[in-house]
Amino acid sequence: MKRGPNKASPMIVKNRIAGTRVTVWDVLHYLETGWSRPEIAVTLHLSDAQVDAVARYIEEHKEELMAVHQQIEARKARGNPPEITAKLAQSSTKLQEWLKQHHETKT
Amino acid sequence: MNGILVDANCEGHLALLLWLFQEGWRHDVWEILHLTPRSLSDLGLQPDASDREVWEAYQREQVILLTANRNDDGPESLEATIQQYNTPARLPVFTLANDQRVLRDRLYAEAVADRLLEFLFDIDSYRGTGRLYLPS
Repeated sequence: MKRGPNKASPMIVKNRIAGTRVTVWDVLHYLETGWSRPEIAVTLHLSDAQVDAVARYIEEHKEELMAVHQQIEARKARGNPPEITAKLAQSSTKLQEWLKQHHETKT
Repeated sequence: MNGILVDANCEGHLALLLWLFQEGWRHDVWEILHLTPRSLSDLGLQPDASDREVWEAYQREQVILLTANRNDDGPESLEATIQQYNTPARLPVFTLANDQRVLRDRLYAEAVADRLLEFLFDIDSYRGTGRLYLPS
């Protein structure tokens, strides 16, 4: 789903805030979890006007944006596949061994 | 690796992680990794660079990319770029699974910091894996 430049929301281009890499879903994630607009502006280095424009845009296109939002959240919730988890156990062991040797060398 | 590139949506998150990297055993590991934080402009990227442009730049420069990346799966998206261009030699992209929680939950942020260091310490084992979630 790609939109814009949008006549009603000229600050939103292809679901991003114009001139930035911040997407409407970045902002939606924070709004959904109860962050205030000023907090979001500070965290994502946006102006108050940009956050307000995204909030309006989200309201206007809520259904389609929420569908993608849910896909993004589902992908993130799945996390790393089992082969990565198995590999991480090996990496953790390597790291612990290195730390042990490192501390022995230091003392 | 020639540094760590932070995406526009998580600059504050990296600042917090860098602070956590100064504590205890993390400091020892972070010191040997010797990764300098890099910005999009350091890599010659515009503030509104596409996911594909960012992916190409961090692979070319061999830096680590940390992002929160909430985007659809369009042709210029990170997801599509990985599907199309990933090879066994390519660096993975590190994605914060819950970026706002990193800033509000100290234990969660520490879990992200620990997991990122575990990955980075053994980074060559993760080339070609595409996208890795933190902490997962």
